Amino acid sequence: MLITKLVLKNWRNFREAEIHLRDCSYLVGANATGKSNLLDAFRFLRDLSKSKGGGLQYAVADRGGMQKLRCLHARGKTNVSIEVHMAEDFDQEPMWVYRLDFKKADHKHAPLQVSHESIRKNGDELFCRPNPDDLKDPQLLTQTHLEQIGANAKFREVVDLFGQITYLHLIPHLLKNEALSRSGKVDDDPFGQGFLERIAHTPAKTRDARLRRIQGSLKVAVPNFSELRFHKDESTGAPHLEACYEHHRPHGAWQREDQFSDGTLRLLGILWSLLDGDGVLLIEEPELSLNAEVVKQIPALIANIQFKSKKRRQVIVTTHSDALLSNEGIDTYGISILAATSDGTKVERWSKKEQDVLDAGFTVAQAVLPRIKPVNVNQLSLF
Amino acid sequence: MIWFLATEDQLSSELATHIIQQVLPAASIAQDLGQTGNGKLKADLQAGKFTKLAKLNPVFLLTDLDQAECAPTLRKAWLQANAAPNNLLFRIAVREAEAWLMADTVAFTKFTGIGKGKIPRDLESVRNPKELMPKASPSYNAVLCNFVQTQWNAERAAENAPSLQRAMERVRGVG
Repeated sequence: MLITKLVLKNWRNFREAEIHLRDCSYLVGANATGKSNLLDAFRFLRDLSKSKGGGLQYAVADRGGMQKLRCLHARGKTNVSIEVHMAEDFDQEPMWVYRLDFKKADHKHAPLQVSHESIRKNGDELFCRPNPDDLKDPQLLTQTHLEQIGANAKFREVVDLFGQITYLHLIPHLLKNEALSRSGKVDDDPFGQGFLERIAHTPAKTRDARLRRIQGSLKVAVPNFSELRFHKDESTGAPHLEACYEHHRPHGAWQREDQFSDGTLRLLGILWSLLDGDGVLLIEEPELSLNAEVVKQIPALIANIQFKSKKRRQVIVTTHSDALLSNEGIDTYGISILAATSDGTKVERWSKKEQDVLDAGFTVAQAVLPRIKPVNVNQLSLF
Repeated sequence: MIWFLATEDQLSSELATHIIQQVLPAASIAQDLGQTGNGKLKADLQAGKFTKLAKLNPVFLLTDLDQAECAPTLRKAWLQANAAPNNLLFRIAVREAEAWLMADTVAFTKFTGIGKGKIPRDLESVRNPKELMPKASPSYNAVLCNFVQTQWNAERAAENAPSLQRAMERVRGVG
């Protein structure tokens, strides 16, 4: 099952947005246009659908409350709304459509409320709230059906799809610094040490097979890199990754992850996540810390792993990298452009003139990136 | 009519923009499909991409002659046996875009403080015009782009640069 479309209303800096998704989608936008905010809508769905340590109240509170979540450009007392379309394949009518609207309660300290929740399967409505029960007991409207095991049996498939959404934004500094990493929250999203724990919890056979594959790619991308292995520290029990570099010494030198370069760690994180699990994977700016020539290969790398896997993992990438978008094999239907306006960020597809450029054989970078480039950016150097 | 640009770098892009705007004030300019050096520009041209795009929209392709023998040889080497369609303006700055910059001597001397006498009369015969420019620094491009945007005048420069004169005539022909 794949997410084929997401419709947002009043979500953070998006007043209204419609995003069409493919096997691999690229959210392209300049700095501060809300690329991460858009990814956060997917993480929100994941947080909603958790029966333990999740749910609507938690997911909103975790984001700083409605004040921070609701679009600044929204007028009056409006709902925040998320609608998700899901299908077995793209270009198919949606099998599932889930929609959730919620708003602040009338009283200052009261919990926020579901103002609409519905799910349709192949066009038939399975439920639509508020229903008579909700009217009898308004408390019920403080929770979604998504987070209640008792209520979501008929659409467990959707709950599972949301629950498996993973966000990858590996921060090398956090991963290298154990103390720093522990002070922050380690939950479902591997930013730092959580990533090592994720590797540690993978069955040894699978883990070794994956690391061998990753080793092959790192050998190509990282000079002198030769071997990668998992190692559990016997005295502390802490999981570690170790890499061997070919040196003038005959047997090379083993280094722990805290000595890996930022680029090596980032690439390792991307590769591991692509191999790990089959839910939707959100990747934040994969170009960070990496050589442009390596970045250029990322779209092909994703497509290759998707092709070879039994269950293709849907991938959503945020980027503003020229190198990444100059890969000629990118599926242009997966491109969404984030354009900042005075009325919040708009999500657009390519224009007619950009279509002409793509049709003539130019890359997505050439067709679309000029639009998100700040006007007169060279004047920055005259600061 | 929407124009596309295809230049080597930011400075050439700025020049091309200015030229079209000055010749055809009503024209709108989309984007520059180059700006990553002349190797990529040549590769895209030889892959037929600009030719294909020029069937729908005018494309202004600008490259430096540099040390090639003359403009017709460079054009032939780039286009090979293919002919450029009418809407693909393949223009060559002799020998570098910097010569076009300096060709507006009035604005250039005022901007740089370089004496008028130091600028050769026949700019297109200078082998390496960059050497006459103020010393390169990391903000070299930004400073010169700013100059083009605010002070450079294509008509005035064309009087001292025949290759620019011809480029402007071709732009006028498309409009």
